[in-house]
Amino acid sequence: MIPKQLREELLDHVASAVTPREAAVEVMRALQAFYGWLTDEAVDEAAEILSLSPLQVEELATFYEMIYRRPVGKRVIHLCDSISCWSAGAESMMAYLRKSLGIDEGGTTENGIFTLVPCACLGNCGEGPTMLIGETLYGSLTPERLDQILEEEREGVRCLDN
Amino acid sequence: MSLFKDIKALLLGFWTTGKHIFLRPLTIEYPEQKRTPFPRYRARIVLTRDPDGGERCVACYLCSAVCPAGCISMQAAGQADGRRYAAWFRINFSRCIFCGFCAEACPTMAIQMTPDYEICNRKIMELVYEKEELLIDGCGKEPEYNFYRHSGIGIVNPRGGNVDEEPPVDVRRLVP
Amino acid sequence: MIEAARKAGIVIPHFCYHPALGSAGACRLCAMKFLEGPVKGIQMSCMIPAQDGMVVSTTDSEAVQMRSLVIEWVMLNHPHDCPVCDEGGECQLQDYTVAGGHAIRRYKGKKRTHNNQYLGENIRHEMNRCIHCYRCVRFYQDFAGGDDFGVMGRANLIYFGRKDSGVLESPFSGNLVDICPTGVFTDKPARFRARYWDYDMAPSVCPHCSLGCNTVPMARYRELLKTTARFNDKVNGWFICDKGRFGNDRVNSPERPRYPLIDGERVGWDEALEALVRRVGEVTRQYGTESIALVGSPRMSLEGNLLLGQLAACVKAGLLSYFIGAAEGEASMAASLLVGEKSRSMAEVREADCIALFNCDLLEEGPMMALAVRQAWRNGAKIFLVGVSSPELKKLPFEFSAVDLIDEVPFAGCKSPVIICGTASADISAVRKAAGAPAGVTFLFNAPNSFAAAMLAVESQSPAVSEALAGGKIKAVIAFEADIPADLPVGVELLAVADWMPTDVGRKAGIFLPVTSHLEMDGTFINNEGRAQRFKKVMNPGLPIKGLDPLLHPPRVHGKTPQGGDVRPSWQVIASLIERFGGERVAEPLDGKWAALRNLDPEGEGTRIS
Repeated sequence: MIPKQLREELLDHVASAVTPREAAVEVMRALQAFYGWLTDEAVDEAAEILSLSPLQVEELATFYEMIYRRPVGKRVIHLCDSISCWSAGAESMMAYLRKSLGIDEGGTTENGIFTLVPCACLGNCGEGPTMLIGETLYGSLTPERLDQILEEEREGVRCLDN
Repeated sequence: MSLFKDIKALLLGFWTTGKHIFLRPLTIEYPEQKRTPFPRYRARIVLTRDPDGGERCVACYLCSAVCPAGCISMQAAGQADGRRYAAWFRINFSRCIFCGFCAEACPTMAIQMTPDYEICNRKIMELVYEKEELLIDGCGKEPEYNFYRHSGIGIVNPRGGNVDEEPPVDVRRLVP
Repeated sequence: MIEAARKAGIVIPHFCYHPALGSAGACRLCAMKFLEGPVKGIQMSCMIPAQDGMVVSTTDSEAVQMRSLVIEWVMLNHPHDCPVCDEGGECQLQDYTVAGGHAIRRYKGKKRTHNNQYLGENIRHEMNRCIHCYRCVRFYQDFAGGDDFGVMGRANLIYFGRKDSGVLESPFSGNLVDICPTGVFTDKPARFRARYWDYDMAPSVCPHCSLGCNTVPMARYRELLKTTARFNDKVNGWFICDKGRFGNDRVNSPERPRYPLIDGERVGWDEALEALVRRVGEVTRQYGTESIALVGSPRMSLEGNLLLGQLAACVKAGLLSYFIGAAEGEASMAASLLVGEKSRSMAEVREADCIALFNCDLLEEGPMMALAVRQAWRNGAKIFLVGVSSPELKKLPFEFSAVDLIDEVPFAGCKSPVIICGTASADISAVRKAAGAPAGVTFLFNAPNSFAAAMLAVESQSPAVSEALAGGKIKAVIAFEADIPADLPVGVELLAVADWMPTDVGRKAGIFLPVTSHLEMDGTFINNEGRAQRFKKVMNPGLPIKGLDPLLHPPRVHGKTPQGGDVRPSWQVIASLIERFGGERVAEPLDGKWAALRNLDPEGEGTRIS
């Protein structure tokens, strides 16, 4: 269950939208931020807040790749595998990430920090290969830079936990 | 002149016939002697089994649809595991013209023609074969094929478990 | 463009386009080469409105190649299971694959698979067969207003189904079976039973409510396997409701009476009819013809009900009645009198701009009317619900505002207002009220031929049965397909029942005559708006071969009439009774002013009478 305050905020937001469906992404993102990922319970809650059926929320939730319907780590790495990044070496970056994190695409590290997901174009083609963690876009990736970014992100998570 | 021509034609005819007295006969003394037909000979129809021993016939009605004599009838039914089979299957051999269209139409290699041509009978009802009389314990001429290993709906193997299939999609998965 | 070509007699292949659902441009199969006009090159013909000056080629080699490639792509992931698929033989994908010339899969990659969902006892889900045309979800959510079935995922993960397995909630879910161009949704009760070319089928009319939706029932070996929708623009459009589609059990019921009975003993037809004439004679001698009641029924065909009037004249029966309850009879009679010019068809309801629901529970009394109202609502019509609103009504697939009285509905500013008024729970004043309002009217009755029965009842001024029986005068009741109460008053000495359904009163009858259901005869129903529609004989009557037990074969003996197949249409039974009571031989049941209906086209739109 989400806190009452969050629920009321979301209801207000939905009420201010022209149609409830319009606010669906914001509601799902808020619930995802609260639960870590969009749990089945969260889908039902979102449906209730949006006065849609759970199926209609599920349709949207499974459509957007940054709404997670499966458990994820605290940091989700979206590594672009579209044409520009691919030709700039995204494949070897993916291989490096797989090796250094010890997970496959879609997998989550054992300590629950990272989830690795390939994604389509992030609009940062000039600086490929590119990845997105949270709301931060990282371009011109190299193995060294990846190590550095991962360490920074780990540090960030550690700070948050403490 | 015409008389001479007639006699010549007559003698020629007798000569041609008489010649055969000294040649080996082409015919055989049936039923004392029997010929072995080629394997592709089209006679008595059988229903075969797949290499795993299951009935091949899925009662898809294609043989009965293609049969020009309209001598095949059946009723399809489903087993608990989703396998489709013929609850009853009947071929009326008194009507069958052994054209082989049914065997050609069969998508599961179930219905096949055998070289057994001796199925005459004076009692017509005995020429109406039911499934028990048609079904044999063997693959017939097609030793390999099992329809359900290729059909892609998860009967013999679990869904997505056939050689040419990916495992079932999880629509909620993280990887797009 | 597709519609323009269809009018010119050219079929353009397509999957995602549907006349009722519009274009989606999802399947890419309707590619045409546009040679002249505002657009040029290969285009999807469903997405381009036809215009003057366009020159379009369906046979241009580029277009043909495009279409054959599209078919090949569509078939990439399609399983190899046509022999065990129920759609095989009536599958659009199968037809177009053959037409496109695709036979060998060139792509060597693996096929995508999905797990299926349980969608209830009526619809079977096989998601591997899906070609992503989106017809199902466009119908289910947009057209029919369901919200528990939809499309999930994206790209190659696309999945059409429910959030979790479960029974589909929409009362129109069965249309998924018709609308799916391949075998993702198939009819579960008919699963594995027959192929399209083996079915006995004919144009028919749904008997489950008074709307008279057009159907094609499909039977095999004297068993009704499934019912599909038949297009009639004036009535149901393209679809039918689940009640009509999956309500096949009545006809197949093993309890159905199939032999004439005298006091429970099986007899021949002649014997039974003679006994009936003799016993009616006995009652007449003792009590006079006034004591004889003939009962027709709103579920019997027009032909039967018409001849019943002749039979009543023949025996000079004291009572000729078409309705059981007084309220139902009165309301139906009034409704049939009142509609006239104001009667609105379902097509007109779909185009109305203001609709008042008065005294009716739409999803109960005529589900397809709810779908028609939804289409009006989607086009911007205002819907008003008059009077009480029970929680059940909230399931209606459209938004409405509740008002207390019919007079509060603002009909004044509307071009084509319609009142939909039920007669099941309405009293006669409500019916008058509806008919008097300044709007078109659509009444809902409770049986397929209520309108005809009501018209005949008005003509013959006949009261309802229950009233007459209570009077105690009636000593003989002869009922045809009528649902009269089983506990008749003690004074009734003769009870003769003709019916095709097993009823309590039928079991009590002294003389029982088995008749055909509407699927085993030709006949006419008049629907709620007064539209006469012909239904054709779909199958022969008789006990079905149900060889589902592998040890059981169909009988190995041959006979002309199948076991239990000697049942006759009600109107023929009535006709032979007329003859036996000394009347003239009836060659043609539709006579006099009804003769115009003789040549009714069963595949046409029907004829509006009155």
